[in-house]
Amino acid sequence: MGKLSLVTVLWSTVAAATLLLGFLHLLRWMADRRARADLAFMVTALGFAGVAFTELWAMHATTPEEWGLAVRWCHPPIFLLTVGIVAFVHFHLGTGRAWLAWTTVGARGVILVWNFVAWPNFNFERIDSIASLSFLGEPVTVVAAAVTSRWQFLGTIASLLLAIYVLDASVRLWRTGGREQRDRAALIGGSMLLFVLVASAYAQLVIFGLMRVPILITPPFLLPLGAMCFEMSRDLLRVGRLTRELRDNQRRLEMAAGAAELGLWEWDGRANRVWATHQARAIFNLAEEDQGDFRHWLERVHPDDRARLVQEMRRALDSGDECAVEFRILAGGAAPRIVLARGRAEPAGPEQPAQVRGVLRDITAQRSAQDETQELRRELAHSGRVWLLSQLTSSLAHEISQPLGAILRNAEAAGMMLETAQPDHEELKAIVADILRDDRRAREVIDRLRSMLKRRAGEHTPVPVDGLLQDVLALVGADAASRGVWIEHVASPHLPPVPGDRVALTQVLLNLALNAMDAVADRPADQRRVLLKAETGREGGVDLCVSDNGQGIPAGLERRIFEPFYTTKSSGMGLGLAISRGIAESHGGTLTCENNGQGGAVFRLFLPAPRETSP
Amino acid sequence: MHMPRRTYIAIIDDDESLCRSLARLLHQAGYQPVTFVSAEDFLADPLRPHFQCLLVDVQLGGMSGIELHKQLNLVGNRAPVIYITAFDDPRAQAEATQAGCAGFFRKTDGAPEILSAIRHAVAPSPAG
Repeated sequence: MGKLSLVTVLWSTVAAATLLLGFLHLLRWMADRRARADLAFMVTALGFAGVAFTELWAMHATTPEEWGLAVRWCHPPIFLLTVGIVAFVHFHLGTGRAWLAWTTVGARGVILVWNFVAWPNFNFERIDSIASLSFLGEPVTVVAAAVTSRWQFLGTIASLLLAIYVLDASVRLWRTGGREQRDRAALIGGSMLLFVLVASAYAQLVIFGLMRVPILITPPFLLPLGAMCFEMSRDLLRVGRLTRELRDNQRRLEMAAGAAELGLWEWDGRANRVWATHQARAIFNLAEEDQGDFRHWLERVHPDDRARLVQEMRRALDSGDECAVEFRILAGGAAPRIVLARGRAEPAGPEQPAQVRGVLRDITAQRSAQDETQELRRELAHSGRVWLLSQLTSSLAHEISQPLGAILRNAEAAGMMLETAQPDHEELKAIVADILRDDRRAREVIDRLRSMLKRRAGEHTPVPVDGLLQDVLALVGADAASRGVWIEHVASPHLPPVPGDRVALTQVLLNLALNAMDAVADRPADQRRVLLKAETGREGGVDLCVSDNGQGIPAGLERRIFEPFYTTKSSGMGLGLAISRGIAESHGGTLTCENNGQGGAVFRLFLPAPRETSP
Repeated sequence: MHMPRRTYIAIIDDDESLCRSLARLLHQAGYQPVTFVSAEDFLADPLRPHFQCLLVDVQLGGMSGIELHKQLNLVGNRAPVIYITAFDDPRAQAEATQAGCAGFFRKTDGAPEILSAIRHAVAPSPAG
């Protein structure tokens, strides 16, 4: 033939285009193994291309044998087509009945085997002659005289099975699905049904010689093929749109994070890798290439803080919880910067490991401002103590000098009397009696002073226990961080508020916490632990415990440390615990201490529950 | 000039035990002490003008020692006033000095200084 056959062109281009589409979807499946509908589409496309080629072959056959051979070789691609369609419906609609699917594929499989056992093919027993027909302006071969196989109606049944399978799946999807699913069901189901009916009827008509046209499955199949393609493309379009949205979101997120000077990070606990934004890397002073390995990031962290950081991250990962940890970053020669990292764990998914994801921020400036505030607060608290102290000492000085002064005068007088030749014994006896009386008076002054300490209380309001702990933590937080002390706190839920003077109670806990931090100062940097615990005490009251892992209290001194002016420190008056106990007792509670099991001490402030009736 | 045989010294302090002990001391030293537990008691005493020295505490129930001193100044009292106080208050000391005291001691200060101050106070002034 001189000119290029139109039939050849048409059939070839359709087949090629279909293969190309199939190949694209194959690529998609290779990138994402979950997209099995894409694989099914590829199989369908292969089958379709095969059918198109065998049709072309048949239309250009020159002998009956050749035509029979072409029909014979039509069956493998038809099998592929069947498998592909069944698989597509199964994965894309999801409502196909498995047994029906297997039956359909099985039937086609049987026909396929039969086809290659029989001669010339499954459909015909004997092909006697062929004829030529004009089709699209050129001659094509059609069958003229032939004897159809008795069993070839099974092929129709197999096709019908396929149609039933597809229809059934479509109807089920229509019934159970929403709008999108109904559209999908209508499209796939409808087009498939149409195709199968048209193609089967058409094929039968030709086979029985009622129509003298080439057996053409490909044109009607373009319908369902187009439908499948449309469905697949819809997915691709959606993916494209989602990708765009995702990119937009990411950009927005990065902008917002950047504006807030927040670095974003993700930590893969298992592989120990880190993803982070540019901002995060800038905070850590890491170059662009330096990301990925968590160890690189850890190297930038202050050695004393590393263990704590890792422990907190692991804890969050294991418990699925939130984490918040402050740590220092080495900044070359300059002072270390303080960074706050907050994150939340995400559980492992089907294709991602468990991660912790969060933000981090350089809070050095904030901290120094806070430190100043803290310093001020501490001075205030301290001057409160100093004021109290000066009040107490002047009152002590005054009250006690009376009896002491009297004792001195009496002693001096007695001394002078004894230097005379005849000291007056009666007078001396009176002097001694007076001295004893005044000594007792002096002691009473001290006792009264102690009880005065107790009576020094402001007005009582209901104090929430958790709020109290938080206040104290806020006051010692910076101190603890700079001294490398790990302060933990535990509060039992549902603790009742305690009636009391919030400032005084804060003072007591602050005092205990500061003492605890002093006690652990000798321990190595990453082992300093102070625990603030609030739990229910006896008779509905509240126990506030401050425990540490320091040296503990030497045996026998548990009572003495509460005495005024007892101190083991080089600075300080030794009045803190005495005042604290006084405050405890003025609240109707107690302040005791004992050694805890871990070698340190625990101070227990017990505050009673509010009384039912007011006094 | 004929010196009185007895040198009367007033002790004004609200603490009885202290008054008693101070009186004993002064007695041993050869003086004649008379004790008062308040400034008002002292002012009401008819012997008041005859005291040659006053030992006064700053802090008294009712009128304070310094107030008493000022009042006595107003009525032309010439007896020297020596303060013996429990408070170590520089302000009180300043006030007392301003009012013209002959000594300012703490209760816990030793006898020798106090007796020396008293001796100075009751010594006759030269050239009448």
